[in-house]
Amino acid sequence: MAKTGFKLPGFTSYVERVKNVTAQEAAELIVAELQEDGPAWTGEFRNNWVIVTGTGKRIPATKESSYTKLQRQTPTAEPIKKISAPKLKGKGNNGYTIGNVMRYRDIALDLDPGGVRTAGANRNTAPEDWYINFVQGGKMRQILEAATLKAAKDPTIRGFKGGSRATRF
Amino acid sequence: MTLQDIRRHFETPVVDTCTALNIPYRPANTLEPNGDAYSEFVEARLQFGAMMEGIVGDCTNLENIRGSFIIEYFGPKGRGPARAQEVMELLFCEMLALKGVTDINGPNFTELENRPYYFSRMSMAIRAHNEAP
Repeated sequence: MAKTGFKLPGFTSYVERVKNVTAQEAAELIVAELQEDGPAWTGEFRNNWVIVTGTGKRIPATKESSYTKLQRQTPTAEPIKKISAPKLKGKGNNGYTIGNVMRYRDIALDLDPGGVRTAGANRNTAPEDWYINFVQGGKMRQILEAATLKAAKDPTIRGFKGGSRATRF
Repeated sequence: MTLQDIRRHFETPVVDTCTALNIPYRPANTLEPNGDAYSEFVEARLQFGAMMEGIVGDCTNLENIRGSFIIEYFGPKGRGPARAQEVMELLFCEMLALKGVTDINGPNFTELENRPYYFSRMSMAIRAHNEAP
């Protein structure tokens, strides 16, 4: 019986590397867009997104606001902070989990129907249902496509030649 | 379809189900009628998300509209989940059968802490296109 398929030395490592870089790009782009689209009253919420390795990880909402009630009335939004994803290494990794650690996150995400976000004139507090719309309204899908393209242009994973060179990532 | 046509397309099964179940339906941007902890009602909101995608070729349908449709049920607290489940299950089946609904998340059920309601929500991704005139 004829053998099906063929073997390329190093190809598995190459694919794993592409997968890891794509996942990392996607996670960082998603968080950057969440920071952009989400509310920024004090800026504390948007700077407290976290990216952890592994899917389905629990990210507890444990962080209290560092602002007093008085400070929250007329805050100056904190500068936006870049959130980086830890590198995924090796085979059999399980991607990432993204979450926010602020205790009031459900209010900021519009997931708490009893919670009302602080609003004010000329301030970005994000439109209603911004988070659900982000996930289901097509933006997440666009980011994943963009991450694939961006990762494909990464010089460290371009020019696969096969053999041992491909394993030197 | 215009944006209003799209809204009508997704809202109609919700309105019909609410009418059949004799539950008040509150569309987006309407004044909240008087209610209390003993009343029940359904809300739905439509948000448009990614509206444009580049298309190559001679195509008159230029817009590929995506968005999210959210249905929420508010019912009396302390009476068990049966009624909420009945309402949401019917709404779920209606939305599942509706063209343009691509992914339903929920329904989730919870007792609200700060309001006297038992609450359920499901959200779904929607797709439509806006035909060029």
